[in-house]
Amino acid sequence: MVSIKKLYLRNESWILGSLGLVGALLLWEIAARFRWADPVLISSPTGVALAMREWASTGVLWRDLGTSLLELLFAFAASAIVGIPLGVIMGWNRATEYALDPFVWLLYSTPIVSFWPLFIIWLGIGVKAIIALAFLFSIVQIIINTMAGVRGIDPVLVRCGRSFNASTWDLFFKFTLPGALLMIIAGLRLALGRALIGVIVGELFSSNAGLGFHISFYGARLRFSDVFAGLFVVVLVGVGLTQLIRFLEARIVRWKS
Amino acid sequence: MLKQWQRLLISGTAILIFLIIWELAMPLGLVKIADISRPSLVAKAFLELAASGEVFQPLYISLKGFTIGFVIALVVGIPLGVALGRYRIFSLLIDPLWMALYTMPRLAMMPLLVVWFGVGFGATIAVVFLGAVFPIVVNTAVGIREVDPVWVRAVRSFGGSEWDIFRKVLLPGSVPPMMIGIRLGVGRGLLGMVVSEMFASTEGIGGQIGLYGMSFRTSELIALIAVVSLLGFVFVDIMRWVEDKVSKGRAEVQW
Repeated sequence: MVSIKKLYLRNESWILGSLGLVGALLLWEIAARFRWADPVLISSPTGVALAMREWASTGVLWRDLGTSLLELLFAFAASAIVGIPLGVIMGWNRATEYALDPFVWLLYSTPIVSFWPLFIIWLGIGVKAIIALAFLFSIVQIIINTMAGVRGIDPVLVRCGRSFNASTWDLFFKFTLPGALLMIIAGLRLALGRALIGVIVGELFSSNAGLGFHISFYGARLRFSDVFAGLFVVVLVGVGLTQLIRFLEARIVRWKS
Repeated sequence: MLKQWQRLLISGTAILIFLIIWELAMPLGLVKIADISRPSLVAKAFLELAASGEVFQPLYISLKGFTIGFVIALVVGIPLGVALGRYRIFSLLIDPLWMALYTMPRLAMMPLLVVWFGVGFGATIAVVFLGAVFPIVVNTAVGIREVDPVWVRAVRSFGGSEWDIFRKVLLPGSVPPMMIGIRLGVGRGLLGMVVSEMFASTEGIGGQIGLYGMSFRTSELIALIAVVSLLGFVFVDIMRWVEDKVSKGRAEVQW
């Protein structure tokens, strides 16, 4: 008895978590079976599983997933390549910060989707506009976190480096960048989530492939099992990517200490 | 160290330079992009829109939807966050489900919400609610967990009830993180509002943006985007100010 209790306690979060998940799915299935709500509107886990299987077996799932991931990758990579140096410069140099500050903060508090029609006019309907939207979603977070990371470096460290005759170059690569790394990575994690929002919303609005397209296409035809299947894949993508960055984060923390 | 007036000077100059380049970019042929309008044209478009009631009327509709959705998010989110932070079993039970929903862009549910709650107002309220409620719940729960258990035990040993614990220790102790959640919720809610209106209705400021976008009237479009930006800026700034009043230097928890 004691060992069972111990076993339970050791895996408590795991056991209770799956219990909650299974319970919710069961409740959903029952609600659909006994028509507590219109099954057309709420679908059901079995219905979603069937839709999922069909989606995967026709191979369209891989095309949609690939399209969305590729858009996400392009937008995210571009925003990191532009955003990190920009954030570093803004954190390093007060005058630059003050010059760019108003633009960054305005973008940070703007609901960024409102730029969507503008992107359509500039870039045309399609992948380019979606990437631009996701880019804008993502880069603001990267700039802000990078700037905060560089700013947060202990000034004593910098002065210490200076008194040992370190060049600005050395200071930058040996103190500033490593010191800001954790903040930068946290920013990348948040930015990835925001980029995913950008991709999905862009695809919802107008596209002919991708997860967001799948969701809006079947949503308009009231085939909600397929819509839920799409949402399920979006959840998987979100959780998977977050775990990936958390894993990298953990590795770097260990390396730092 | 640069002083405050120097900061204003630099920021102001940067904005001015940006506007001048923007004004001259089209006539000088600096950009190849389709149409970026000009600040002077945007200003004119704004005045015309404002005069014909195409700014403030939709803004009123938008804000009504936003306010209702956000108030529901507060009413549902804060008690839920308190429960999640206080009762460990409950939080463990719903944790995986919760994390999945939290990581997911809830805006992807738009096509469902439109059918469930009706195109336009209903869907907007639902999206604002879904956007705002998650950061509120998570940060409230964090706040509750952060409260020192010694205080809870102190209330107990003086014969305080569970209600006393809530009212005198947990609630006041969790206000600063809660405020962070509310600020993040405002941002998410505004985003949801605009997406909903652009996606599925012609109402509100988002609908207006969609309409002028479709008719390629860039000046009007940019004027409306500026209005939405300013709205977001003011809202977030107000929240930040309130937050500064109640808290000092806490880490924020996003998804």
